Amino acid sequence: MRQGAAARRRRARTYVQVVVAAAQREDSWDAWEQDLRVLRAIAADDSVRAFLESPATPLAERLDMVDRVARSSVSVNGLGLLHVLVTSRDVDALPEIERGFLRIADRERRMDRVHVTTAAPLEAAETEELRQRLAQPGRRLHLTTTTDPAVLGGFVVRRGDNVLDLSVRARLQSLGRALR
Amino acid sequence: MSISPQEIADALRREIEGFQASAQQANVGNVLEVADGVAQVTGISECLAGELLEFPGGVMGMALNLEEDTVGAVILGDYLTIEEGDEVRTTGRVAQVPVGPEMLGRVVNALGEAVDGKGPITASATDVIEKVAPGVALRQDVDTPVQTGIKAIDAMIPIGRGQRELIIGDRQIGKTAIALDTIINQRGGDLICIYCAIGQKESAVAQVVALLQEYGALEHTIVVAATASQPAAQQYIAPFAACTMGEYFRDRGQDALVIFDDLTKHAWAYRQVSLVLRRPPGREAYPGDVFYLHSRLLERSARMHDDQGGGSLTALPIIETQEGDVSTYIPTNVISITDGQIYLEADLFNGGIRPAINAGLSVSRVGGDAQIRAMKQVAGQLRLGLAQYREVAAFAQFASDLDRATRNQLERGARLTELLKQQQFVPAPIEEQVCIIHAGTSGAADAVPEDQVADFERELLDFLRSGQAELLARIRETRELSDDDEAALDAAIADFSANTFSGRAAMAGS
Repeated sequence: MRQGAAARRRRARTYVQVVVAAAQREDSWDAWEQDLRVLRAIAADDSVRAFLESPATPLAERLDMVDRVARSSVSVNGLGLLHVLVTSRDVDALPEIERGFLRIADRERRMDRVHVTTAAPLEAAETEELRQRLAQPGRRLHLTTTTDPAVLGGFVVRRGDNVLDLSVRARLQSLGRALR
Repeated sequence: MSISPQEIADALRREIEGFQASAQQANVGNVLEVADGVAQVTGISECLAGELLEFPGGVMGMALNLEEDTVGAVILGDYLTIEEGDEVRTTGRVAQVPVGPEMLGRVVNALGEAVDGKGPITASATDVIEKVAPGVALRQDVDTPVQTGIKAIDAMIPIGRGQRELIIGDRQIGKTAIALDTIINQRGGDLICIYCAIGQKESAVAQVVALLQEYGALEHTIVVAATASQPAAQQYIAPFAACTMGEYFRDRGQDALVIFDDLTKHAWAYRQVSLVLRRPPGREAYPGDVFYLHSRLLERSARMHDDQGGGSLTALPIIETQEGDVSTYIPTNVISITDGQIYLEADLFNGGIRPAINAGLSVSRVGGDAQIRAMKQVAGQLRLGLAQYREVAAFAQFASDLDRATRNQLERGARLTELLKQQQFVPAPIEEQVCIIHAGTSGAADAVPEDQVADFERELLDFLRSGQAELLARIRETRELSDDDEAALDAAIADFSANTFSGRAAMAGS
């Protein structure tokens, strides 16, 4: 990491603007989301990122390697972005770029990202019911679920930044605070 | 009396039965990075400026920077327990402190939590720490004095209720002493005091509290302490919290006095917070809004209009200078904001003139209207006269023969200087101050040798207290010195000088 997190976020902002503009032009939000997820996963590996950023290997060779490895898994657009990132040594900003892109893409696509945490795994029927109850007309729903025994019972729903905590854990915690 | 386990169990059961668990809805985010008491947080998209944030483990923070996709928050507690990725919740309230009469006599931190070991404070109300100052229509003229009990201040630099009077000077020359004397002089009065210590040593704060207790002045005082060991964020909000506690009394028609000791360290704390929040540094690395920081704080002291209850909040900010230099950034800022300053000088202090007030550079821009009439009558040109005396005295050191007028001015000035000296923790009632100043300005003390002026003052006061008690009471009640009273006072002083004063043998020779 060459710089602090704040500087990385600043660098990411420009790339986010470019990617959002491209996605808007071609209405290719979903494709870009897929590409960014793959690219971020590639860059998450420290040794891969170290190689892509290392001046020990000539730039042309590194770009060549990028082409061979990533061509099968990302679109032409995504590959172009990775070229630019490698050339300008900004590969480390990919997580910030993805996060910034998703924030805008979700708004543009009218997509709700809902995450439900339960104590025990949900049955398929329960998941389906959740999906129907959470869906809002004219909006897409992206539902993910995890299980966390620490919740104890009930569930925690997170839609965007808003959390509705209906878990037994939260009730016990507030009871604990009231008694203190 | 002992409590049985059964009673405890019953009490607990009642608590639990009455408990209403409600679904908790919150706007959340995650810590991106945390360093130097500042956290960058993503998410919390509905965060308000200045809102309190809750970190894991009950640590609170305050949102200061709202950026496009992150929020910069200062952490008000222990930031070493917070890690990257921790969940952050908004609380829906902007930073608040408890207020009310329950706070009196207590020592609290910048969040209003008790730190004096006397148990938690059950204040009935809370209020936000950042408030907009009352507007023009809600105010009225400053016309009532704050009696500090310090002769030099009450006579030359009168402070009115609702005024902002700066106390400025180098370290260790009695800035805090003036503030403490003022608090102690309010014993049994109607002025509620708030002492806000910013960036001081814990030991210094403990000493102040012990002194206030010793002189019976803690009952009408709230001490807000953000000491050097506490996070810069707490030092930054402490004066605002103290101000809010004072406003509670102001808005209920009472009179309050808040002392910020000192705003230099407050500016340092704010500079630190601003730099770690990556706000651009300006002159002396202070952020661009350091002037607004102090102006909006001091603007909250006000004399409210009678329609609004007629309360007041007086502010005595303290600024520490280096080598007497008042032309650096923060001193010039605060001098320009306040309604006057009490300038303390190291040379005077070392010369034995205590309080070490420089009469020439100290002014009160509104207090004159607030001085009681009797004091105005006797003190009239005192400040100007003393300032001129200091100048002439500097000249006279090199001159051999002086004309009579100059010599008289020197003699008078020397006596007045002696009369204005005062011990710490011995506040003087206003009527006694009037008599002493009158003895000085009327020339009655001119014949007393310089080194006996202190004795003269003490014995004259004893003489007046025993023989002229009604006269003193009349000055205190009417707040004026009528022609008859003035004549009576002159006669009493003459009688005392001629017949009672023990130093008269020496006087004959002078």
